[in-house]
Amino acid sequence: MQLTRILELIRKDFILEIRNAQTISAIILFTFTVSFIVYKSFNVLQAQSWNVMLWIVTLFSLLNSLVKSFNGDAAKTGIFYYSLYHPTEVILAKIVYNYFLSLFVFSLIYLAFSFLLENHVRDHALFTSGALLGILGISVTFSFVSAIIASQENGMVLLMAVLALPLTLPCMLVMIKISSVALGLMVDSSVYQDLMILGGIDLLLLSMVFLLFNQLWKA
Amino acid sequence: MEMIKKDKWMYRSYWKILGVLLFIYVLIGGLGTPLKPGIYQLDAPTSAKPGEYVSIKVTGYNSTYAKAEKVEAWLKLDDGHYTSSLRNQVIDNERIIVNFLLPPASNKEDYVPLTLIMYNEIDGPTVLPDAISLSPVTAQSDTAAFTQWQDQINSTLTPKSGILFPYRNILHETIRNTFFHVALWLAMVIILIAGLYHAIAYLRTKNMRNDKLSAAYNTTAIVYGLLGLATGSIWARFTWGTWWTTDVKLNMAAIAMLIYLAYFILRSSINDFDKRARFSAAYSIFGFVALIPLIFVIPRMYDSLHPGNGGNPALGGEDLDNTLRMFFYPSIIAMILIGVWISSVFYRIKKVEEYILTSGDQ
Amino acid sequence: MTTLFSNISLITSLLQSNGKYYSVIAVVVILFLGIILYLWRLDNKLNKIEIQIRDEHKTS
Repeated sequence: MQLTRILELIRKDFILEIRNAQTISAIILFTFTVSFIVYKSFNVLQAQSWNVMLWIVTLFSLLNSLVKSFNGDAAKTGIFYYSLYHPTEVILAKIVYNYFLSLFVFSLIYLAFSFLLENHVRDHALFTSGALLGILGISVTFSFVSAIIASQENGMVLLMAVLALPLTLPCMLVMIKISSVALGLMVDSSVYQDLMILGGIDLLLLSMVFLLFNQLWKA
Repeated sequence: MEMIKKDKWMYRSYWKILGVLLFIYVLIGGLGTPLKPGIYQLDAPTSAKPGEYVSIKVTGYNSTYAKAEKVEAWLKLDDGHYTSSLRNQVIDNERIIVNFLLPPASNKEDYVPLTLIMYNEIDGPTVLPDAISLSPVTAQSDTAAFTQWQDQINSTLTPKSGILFPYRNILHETIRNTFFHVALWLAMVIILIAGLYHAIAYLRTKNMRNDKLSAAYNTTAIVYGLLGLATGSIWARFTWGTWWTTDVKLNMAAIAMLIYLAYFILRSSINDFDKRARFSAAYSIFGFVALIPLIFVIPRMYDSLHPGNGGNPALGGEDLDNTLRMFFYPSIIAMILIGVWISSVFYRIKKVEEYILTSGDQ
Repeated sequence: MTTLFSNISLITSLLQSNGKYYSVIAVVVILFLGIILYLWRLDNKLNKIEIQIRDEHKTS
């Protein structure tokens, strides 16, 4: 397990994504379409609904963009380089890559929401740290579930949604609470405790993924 | 030969019989034991001024106002401030009118809820908090007037003896649901832990037996969980007034159900035995661990309506009365034993199914 | 519709009478029915297995 080897894997994912330009443009198109639908159907969005809509749209866009994160690798090419790398390296690289992809998707949605609607965020530092931690938890969960369903051929997207969404609930609940404090919807002096809980959930999920991924990988 | 068979049967099934006997004991005792007397309803003004004359019509539950020699009543301001009733008009065993002349002063700057305490030698003491609220101090009040509150109840209150369940406001008879709803949840948690144990054991040993046992325990736990949601919903309707609430334990249970239902969808979508065992074990472990933070997360979101939170009569800790314990713990054990029994039947069905499938191939 | 509503309120008032004792009965009944329903499902599973075994005996 070396940093350079992990970086190699991340670079491979990145190059594959760039080379296959349709996926990235599909993500961009998807986020803007959904944001536009939200904008046109609400026209004026109160802070409370802004908060909820932002996170719901983010959740489903992430679901859409991370669903196939192990898909290309399950093919024949996969066997070749997964015999070269340790499973922990593979999952770590995947999580890091998925995390950056998720942040990219989230910032697209955030920009679209601020541009088309209105930016209700008051405490930017709190909002950003909450989003960074929460999206980490969600992308870890999605990476884990997409590793499980990588071996399935049919009904993939549906299965992903069914398996992954309940698991993201703890993360989502805390994140929405933190961001509603950051939007000034709630007053809570102990919100930093929530940030710590969110970080704790992330660590817990990460350690579970590292423990269990070995088992999934022996397929 | 006959003897050995019988011994084997006894050896194999004694715990099932124990579970059923315990459940019958809980059913008879839990439904049959009467409740202690209590105050069911009041007919009184919502608030009263110091120095005012108030008359309260009390409707008792399981009470014996007419049969008792003497019924006494007090209104309690706080520890050390009581006022006793002037005279009572008994209507019948369940109904009585108690009259108070409130002392002309209060020691609070705000409305204070007064607690009604009633006593007779048959029923023992009965209490109703927030019976009436006392309006704030008025200008004419002074310390001399305030001393008209008695500093203690001047009769000895002996509680009614015998095996009786405690009487709680709002809950009334539904306190019996402790044995059927609360015990069901505790049994579910223990069965879920058994399922988790076998999932981990499967990943360590790769023994298909552990996989089937894990699936069996999780299935039983889900059945218990759905029954728990249904029974809890009914209980909530008749105590809190709604079928579903923002309550912590309820919503946590709902999330747990979602995760475990997803587990079954995953199991049914994979056909390969080995893969199914591995993936579903990994998913169930991950799901169980993802549930743990909810214990810390959700209580920070809303107030709980469940016993012990937000002014609700509590059942846990020191409030779990000894007579309730007599049936509560046996009930948990009975539910666990019956759950293990159901799981073992499920496990054996799966075992035979697999045997037929594999022998059919050859 | 009105009869339906009056029936529902009739049921709720019945369940609420007697210090809500009947709502406890409702809980116990649901518990019982749920377990019986689950037993029914297990029974059906066993039935299928029995049929499978019988068919195998016929063919072999």
